[in-house]
Amino acid sequence: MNYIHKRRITYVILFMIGLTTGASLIFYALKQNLNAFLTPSQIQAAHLSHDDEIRLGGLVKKNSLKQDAQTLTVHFVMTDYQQDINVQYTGVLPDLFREGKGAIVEGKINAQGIFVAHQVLAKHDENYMPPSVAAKIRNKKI
Amino acid sequence: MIALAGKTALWFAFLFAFLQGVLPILGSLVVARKLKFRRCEEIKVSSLRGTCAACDEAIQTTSTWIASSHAAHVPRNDETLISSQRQNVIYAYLSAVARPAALGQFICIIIAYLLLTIAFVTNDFSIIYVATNSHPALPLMYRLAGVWGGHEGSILLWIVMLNIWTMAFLYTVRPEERTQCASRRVDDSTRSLTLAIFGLINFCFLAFLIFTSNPFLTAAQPLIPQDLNPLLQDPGLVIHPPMLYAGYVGFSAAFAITLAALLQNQLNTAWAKRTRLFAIAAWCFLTLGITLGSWWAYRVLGWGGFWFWDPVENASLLPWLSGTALIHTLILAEKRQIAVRWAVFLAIVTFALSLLGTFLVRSGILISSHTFANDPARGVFLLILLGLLLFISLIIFLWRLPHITSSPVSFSFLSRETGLLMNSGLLFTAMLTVLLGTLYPLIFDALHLGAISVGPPYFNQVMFPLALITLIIMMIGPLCAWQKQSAKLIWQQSAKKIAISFVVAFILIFSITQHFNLAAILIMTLSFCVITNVISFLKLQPGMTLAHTGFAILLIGILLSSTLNQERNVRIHPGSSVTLGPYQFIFLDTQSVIGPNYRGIRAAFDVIKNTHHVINLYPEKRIYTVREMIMTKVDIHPGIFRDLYIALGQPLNETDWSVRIYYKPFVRWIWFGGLLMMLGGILSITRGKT
Repeated sequence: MNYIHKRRITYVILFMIGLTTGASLIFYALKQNLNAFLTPSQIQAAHLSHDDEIRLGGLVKKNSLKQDAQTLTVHFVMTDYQQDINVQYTGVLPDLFREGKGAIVEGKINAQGIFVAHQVLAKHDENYMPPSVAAKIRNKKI
Repeated sequence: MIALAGKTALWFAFLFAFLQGVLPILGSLVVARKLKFRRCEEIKVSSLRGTCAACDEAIQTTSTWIASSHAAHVPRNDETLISSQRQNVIYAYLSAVARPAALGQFICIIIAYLLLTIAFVTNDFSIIYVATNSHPALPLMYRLAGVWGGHEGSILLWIVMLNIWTMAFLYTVRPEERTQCASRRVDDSTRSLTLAIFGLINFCFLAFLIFTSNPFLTAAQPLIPQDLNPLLQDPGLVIHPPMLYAGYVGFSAAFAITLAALLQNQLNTAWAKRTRLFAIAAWCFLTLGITLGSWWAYRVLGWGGFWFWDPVENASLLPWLSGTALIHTLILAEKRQIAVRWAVFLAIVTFALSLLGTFLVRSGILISSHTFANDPARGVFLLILLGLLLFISLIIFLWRLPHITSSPVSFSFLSRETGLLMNSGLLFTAMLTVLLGTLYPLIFDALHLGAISVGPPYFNQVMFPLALITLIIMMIGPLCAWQKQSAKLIWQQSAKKIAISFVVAFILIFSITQHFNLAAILIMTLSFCVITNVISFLKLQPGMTLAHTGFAILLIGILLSSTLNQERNVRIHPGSSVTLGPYQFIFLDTQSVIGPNYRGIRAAFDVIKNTHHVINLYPEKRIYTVREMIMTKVDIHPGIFRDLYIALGQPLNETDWSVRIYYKPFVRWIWFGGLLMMLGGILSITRGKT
């Protein structure tokens, strides 16, 4: 075995180590940071703990938006025509957020069963809804 | 009338693209001898160098196996000599079409583009595309820029850019022997082949444009104009897309040149230099485009963020990462003739990534605020196109792989070669992680494993260690000499600088945040080190110095603005005030405001620092009447060391409003860093020794 072969083997070993380390780090990071997209029915069915970070997609139920008189807190209801979930959010709502239109909220469910959102998203297309949610609604809507 | 002329122009361009793309390739196939290589029977190889007795071409290889399969050109045989002359004539005629066809195509596409612009300016609403993206009340600037505001127009812009780069290639790379610089002189056959590859890409995109996304489609009667999307009605629309597209498309130039050289076995120093210049030019445009995009998003989206790891943003970052790796690898290929195969692979991958970006944005499979609303048929077309181009280029790469040779040089562990190779590895890894994060949700969805999303925390987590290692290499790399560098010398040169950087960084971070934030201090130290180490090269290699400094400043900007920024979401009424950092924001009043195609409310804020008045800010809330879309117009007071940013929320009752106020220190350094990088790239091209 001459020095060229030795060097090549060193490079290959280093590369494999780097690849394995990199891949494991990446998949570790991915697992920690995947946010599942759930509908209200799925959340009721899933019995999630109070620590799970959840993304909830659905429609904002008409006439459910209530603005607190003193603060920035709002309460509204997210629905997929099967189940409703109460959502509470403190902050500035995005421009395209409307009752009767789709939205995505991120947050956790507290002990009282209310979804406390730390972020509310509405796409810059007024009829937006995540396709999976839209498909489910289309399939079940009366 | 305009529509008819436009459609005709497009069809002519299509025809020219066909001529430019297909005929020279047919010619090359006819003259199979020029492309297909046969085993040379008369090789004489002594030790590791030798000369092919048939063509007198020198062989340099580390492997006798490769030496023995070296290609010969024309075997010495009279009968085959005559037929090869005939074939040469056929080839000559077929390739002579390439240049005029390229010119003709350029003219036709420019005419088509100008016609579409005229349609926008003169408010010709019989054309569907104009009606869906314009309005008589739209200011002229946005009517001109609105040409690329929708899907069809943006593909037309893509093709215009492709033609501009083809022309750039045509006029900077010439076959004359009089040209001094070897990188500018090229064999006529190589030039035709490169033009042919350009032509093929053009042909595919023109097919896509004409058959699925023709901007000149008309309606039976003039349609009601729907106005440009209000989010696009911003000066950012005027510069960001053209610069971004110039960058994306520029990598097709590097790809075409590389593929032509690959097919003709011309992967030499001149090729490397030529590709490097085109790649740097494309990279400059792409850097500018991404910087402008980030700045535009910051100003318009109202959330004060400059990068959201949105799939479309990632789609522009991927070719940037790969392109940076390409530029650095080409230095190796040009100066040392090593890593040639890797450089070719990177050129193919970068172009494939820019096509992937185009596909992702338009296909309708991504959920994002940036995507064009689209039907899936277009997505399938683009996907097939992307797949074919990638597949064919990789097959050609694999086929020609044994014929690419590198010099048998050796270099020690601490050397500039290692630095550049590690840079390549790191950037490629970064590219793969961003690619994985972007495609993961799509893969999950396609395999019906559920609907997931990968958000900013993933990207920030994986990019941080990579950025750290990149900074370390950037700190040492430029100081290393070729082949071998003594570690002691580097230590002597940089020890003091590292120490001073660490102390300064420590003091800075500690005084600002009152915490011992190791990550922040580390990044700051390394960035300072990078700058101080590289600044001595300012005279010799201004491009490299500026670009690396720009990158360090970019990272400092990102770090400082993330750790130091303050944000408040408040509910206020006129007369009340909010304090953020050293500033006090007093809400004065609101008044209604009417614009050319909108009406709205403008709030007045007084900004005070230490009892002395700084500025008045006027954020607005607008309704664009045609589309009935609400938009927030943010007001910003920019500064070198801090930005003040106010965005109106909603009116909560008769007097109260919800408002977002941001105090963002050092955020301008991010875009300043990006601009410095671009400047560095430009200097590399203009001041590089030919």
